[in-house]
Amino acid sequence: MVTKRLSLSFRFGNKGMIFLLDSVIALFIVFIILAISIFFLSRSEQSPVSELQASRIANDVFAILDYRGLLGNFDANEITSELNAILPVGYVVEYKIECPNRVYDSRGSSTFSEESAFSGERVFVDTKFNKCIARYWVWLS
Amino acid sequence: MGKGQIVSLDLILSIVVFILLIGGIIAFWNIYILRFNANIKQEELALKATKITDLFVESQGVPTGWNETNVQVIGLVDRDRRLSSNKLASLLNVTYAQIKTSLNIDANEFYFRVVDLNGALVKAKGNFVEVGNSSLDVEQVIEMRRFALYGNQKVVLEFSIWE
Repeated sequence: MVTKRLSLSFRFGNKGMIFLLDSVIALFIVFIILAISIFFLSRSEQSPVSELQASRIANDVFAILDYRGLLGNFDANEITSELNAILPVGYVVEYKIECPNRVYDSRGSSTFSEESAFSGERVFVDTKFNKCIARYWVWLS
Repeated sequence: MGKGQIVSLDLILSIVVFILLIGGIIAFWNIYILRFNANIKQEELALKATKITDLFVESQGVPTGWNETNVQVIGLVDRDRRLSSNKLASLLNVTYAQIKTSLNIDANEFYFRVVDLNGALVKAKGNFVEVGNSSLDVEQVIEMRRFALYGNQKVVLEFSIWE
């Protein structure tokens, strides 16, 4: 024990170092404040414009599909190809159409976070005068 | 009698940390305030652009059969998201300043055009639908794109607004 203490003494000199609890707490507070600052700074970079734009684009596109009779025809292939033709590059849409006698869900195996996607719905009448609902989710890829 | 002075390491450390912290907080605060103000302006412009384009594609305007002499509120459709060629043509006859007043954006500048899905300008009664000057050298521009039908054609309304 004495030998070990002596060797440490030769290596580092006769100096001790004390870490006080208050300095540890101070450092802890510093890091918390820095983390909060960085969090708010990163939040301030998020643009509200893209969300507004996505929501309006989805509304417009599904209104157009409705007025062109594509929703009422319930032809999923035609709806999907029309969506691909209209949507600007970078936007992705998934949708679910529910009529009293049938349901189509394009989501299938695709995975997306509903929190990051804008969602909306459009009520329309199909060719057999049934009330149907198209629900859609749009987000930027 | 000699005097000694003790400078403890933790005091030096705490002073350094304190100065770094204060400096960091001031820097963060300044950056945050700048971005916050920019975001507020951006949000205001985005809301204006959204409301204006909502009017364009969803409203018939006031009066419903408006023209360049009696326009109060500009709407460009006959029915929801179906553009009217008469109203697009009338819009081209309204002055830039008159449009700004009608849209309540006197303090802003704007650029508006209607293009097809390939980006080619669309014509209404022989004239390209394009109003204002595009904002190439402006720092903060908000652009809103909306889709509508023009006859059987799918078209894009592009509206840009800036201060």
